[in-house]
Amino acid sequence: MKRELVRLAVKDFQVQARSAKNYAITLIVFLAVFLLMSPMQYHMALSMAALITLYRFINSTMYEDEKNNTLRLIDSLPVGRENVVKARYLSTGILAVALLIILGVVTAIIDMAYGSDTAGLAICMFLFYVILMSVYMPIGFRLGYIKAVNINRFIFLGIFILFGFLSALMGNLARQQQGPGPAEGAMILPADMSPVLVMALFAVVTFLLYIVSMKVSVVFYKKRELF
Amino acid sequence: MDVVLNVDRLVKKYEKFSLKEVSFRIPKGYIMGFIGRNGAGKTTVIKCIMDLIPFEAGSIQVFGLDSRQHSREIRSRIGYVSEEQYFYENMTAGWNLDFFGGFYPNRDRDLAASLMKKFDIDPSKKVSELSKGMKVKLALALALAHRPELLILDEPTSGLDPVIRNELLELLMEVVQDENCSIFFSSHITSDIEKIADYVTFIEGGRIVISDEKDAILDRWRLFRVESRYGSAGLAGRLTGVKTGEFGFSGITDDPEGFVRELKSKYPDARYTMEKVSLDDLLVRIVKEENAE
Repeated sequence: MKRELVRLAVKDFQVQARSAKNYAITLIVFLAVFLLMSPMQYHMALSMAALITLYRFINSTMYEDEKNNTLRLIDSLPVGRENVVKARYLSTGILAVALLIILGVVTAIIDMAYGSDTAGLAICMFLFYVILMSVYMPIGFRLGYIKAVNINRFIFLGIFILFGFLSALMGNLARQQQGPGPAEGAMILPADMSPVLVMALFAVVTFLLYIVSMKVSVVFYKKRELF
Repeated sequence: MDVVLNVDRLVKKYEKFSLKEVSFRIPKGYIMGFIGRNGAGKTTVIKCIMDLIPFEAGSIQVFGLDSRQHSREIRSRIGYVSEEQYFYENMTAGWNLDFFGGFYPNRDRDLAASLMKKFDIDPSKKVSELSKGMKVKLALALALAHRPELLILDEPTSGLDPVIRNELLELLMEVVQDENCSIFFSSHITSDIEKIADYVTFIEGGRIVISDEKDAILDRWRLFRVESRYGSAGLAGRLTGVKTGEFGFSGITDDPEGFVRELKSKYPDARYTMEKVSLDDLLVRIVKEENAE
């Protein structure tokens, strides 16, 4: 079973190996545009870049399976349906952890150069994006790539509008009360908790939600009619 | 006689179509041809056997195991080629064979490599660059590389040119030389089945019409052509798939002696011809009969 999982997870990376150049170009263009517009918001730019990579990875793997109808072939092999789902979560999880590490290290290095402290915020933002992906993936396993990607546009749009609205609201409140700025306001750190502890707690919550999302996806995918 | 596949009163219901108590069995080491026109229910039966879709009633036993309870073990001992070939088109043929084949516990890499060579498939070629015939061969290589005990082929030859079709049929004949492997081969191309099958099962409208040894079927059934002046309702009623023309009527029967006896008793001078039937005649006449009912 472990071999099966690893085989399926490795496949997700292999089928996308040819797209690595496209990934790199997209990210460079995105970072260049974003940083030119607001250079000091580099932590935002980097966490968004990580999100783009993760989202694209999930979409491309789903797209490859559905475009080629290979889920049907896999379904006829001695492979459990639950393992198809678990493997996708494994490959996505591996990429998310790798992106998290890169994001943390790069932001910390830039922080040192600018004398600022935004690495924690960048990591928390990325974890928030992982939670968004945890909402998205079960939809993909239930409805398939094309329907999921369309539904997801509305969900993401709604969440980002809500997020922007809350951020602006908290910014206004902070200005009125001379409190923390909008970015910190979004985090609302309890005064006596260390940022590292908050980050660790956030990471645990994200991980738990990711596992719940996987369990839901397994149920959805087992019910899905492929034939 | 060992039975590798036993389908017993299988019922599967869709809104506009259903399988009606489908029953047949395949003895070990033989090729069974599964004939029926498009939409007769061949693929639905195969999907039930492979446990790809649920069914309402009946049972399917493969290697003596229940198809639903032992689905995984059964699949590891089966080689399956579906009607359409599904591979990662942007990856190479070799990668696809290695990736999908790796899920079979008994996969034999050397056998896989030799099959690729035998089928003349370039492992470094992208699947998207392969012709339909080559994709079928790749699917067959995947299905054979773990030495399956049962090969299930769902219309593998449809859409292929006669040369490639013939090549594939010869390959299947070779496979079955190994008496451990049985083949269940669905097709609406009756000539393919006639060439290689030991047993034949006819399906029409979700119902099994005939299931028997091919030679027994071909020996038993006869096509009669009788002049119209001898055409009474009773006589034509003894035939299956009756076609009436200007000069007479024709139809098939699996009781030729009985038909001739009745014809002669009514019309001692009756002129008729009796011919052996091909599976194609049989399919056409049976479909006609079923649709008339």
